[in-house]
Amino acid sequence: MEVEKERRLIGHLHSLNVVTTDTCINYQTVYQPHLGEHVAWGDTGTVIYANAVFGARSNFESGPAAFAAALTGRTPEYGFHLDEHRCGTFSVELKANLSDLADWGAVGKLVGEAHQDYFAVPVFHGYRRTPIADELKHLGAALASYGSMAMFHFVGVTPEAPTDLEFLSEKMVIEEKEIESVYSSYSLGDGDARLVVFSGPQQSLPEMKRLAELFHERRVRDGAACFVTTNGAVLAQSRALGYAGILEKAGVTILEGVCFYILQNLSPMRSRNRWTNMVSNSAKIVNIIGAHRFNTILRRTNECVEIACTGCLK
Amino acid sequence: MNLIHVEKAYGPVVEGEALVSEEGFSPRYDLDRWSGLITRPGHRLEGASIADKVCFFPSAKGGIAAGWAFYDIKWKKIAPKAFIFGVTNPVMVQGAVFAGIPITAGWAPHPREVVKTGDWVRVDPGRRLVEVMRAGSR
Repeated sequence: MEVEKERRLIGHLHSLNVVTTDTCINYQTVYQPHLGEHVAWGDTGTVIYANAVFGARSNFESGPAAFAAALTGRTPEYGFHLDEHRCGTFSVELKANLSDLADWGAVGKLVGEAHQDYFAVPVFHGYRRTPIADELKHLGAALASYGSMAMFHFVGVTPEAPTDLEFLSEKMVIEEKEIESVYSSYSLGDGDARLVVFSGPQQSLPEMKRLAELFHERRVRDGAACFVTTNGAVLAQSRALGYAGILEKAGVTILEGVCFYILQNLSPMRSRNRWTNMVSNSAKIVNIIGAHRFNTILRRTNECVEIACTGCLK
Repeated sequence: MNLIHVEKAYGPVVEGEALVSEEGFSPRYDLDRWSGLITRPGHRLEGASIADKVCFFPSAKGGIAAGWAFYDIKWKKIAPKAFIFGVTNPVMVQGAVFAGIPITAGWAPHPREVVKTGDWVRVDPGRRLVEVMRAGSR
């Protein structure tokens, strides 16, 4: 019944000339709005990336509101469309190494949990190198998830970042020990290590490549499940390049055009498989999946692969 | 003092039993959308039902799910009477308006000084007031 409803809805959207891309990483694969472009996007990870990294302008828009914007070519002039809300409100000095995508999510958790406010805008600075797109993606997705934030600046990286940080009264510093404290904060529950998920946001091509390298000639342990989600474009390229084949040979299940946390039957799946823990390298999905009664654990990407293959959860 | 002034408000006047949270809320992260129970392990209100309650939450978590989830729970008859937020975000507001659930944002004084879970409260968005009508049995 749910599937039939979904099919009907997609049919209606196609009849209205909507391009269904089934992705939450449209900003990496479909469309990159330019500086100052007004858009009306929904998924919070896409909104914060558009505002922060591209300097485009969007609020978190619900489905009906985004749809109305598509029909009219207009979106209400409020929030992050206005200059006054786009300024930084506090600074965050990054002294930690941040060598894995999960570390960037951990930064988003630390900053977001401490400032749960749509209009809070952190200004990151002091980092020793230029972050890559996937790092900013995990940072933004976690800020939006834990803090409900829609904007950040990164000095030397994002187009609207301020040059003078002196006027920001509140200053936060993130060192290695804060990142480690995030990882040690998770309860291991009953030690169940049979569910490992790479999702939320969907995997980019570089993430698929890295996973293929880590899973090469490995095998997901019998009785365990490992899920990777991505969109159609990335999956097609991953197949052509051999990444998808390596993952599937290792026993990884690749889901196309969805995210793990929006699976409608996730709670029944959890019960049926008697999963209690979910392990992921995504700080966002670790936060977002709670209502399905999972005990969730954030671990670095290579550790997640080890857990999937050995069942050894530490 | 049994009044809370709210900064922004939408919807008709409603009355109901208060459910006061010290933790923020998302219908995706925290709520079982089939039972109306808060099911996130460790949420301060884990096990509580939001159905027919006037829900006080200090903050909104995440975003997009509220846009359809409030309509979904209204249709399933497990929606709250009203949402009273300290700070919120546009999707919570759009979702509540779309579902016809009164919503307010910004408050003074803080609800913890005025209202407790189980109290009977009246939400008057037009006058931007939340009034504690009578204390609950506790």
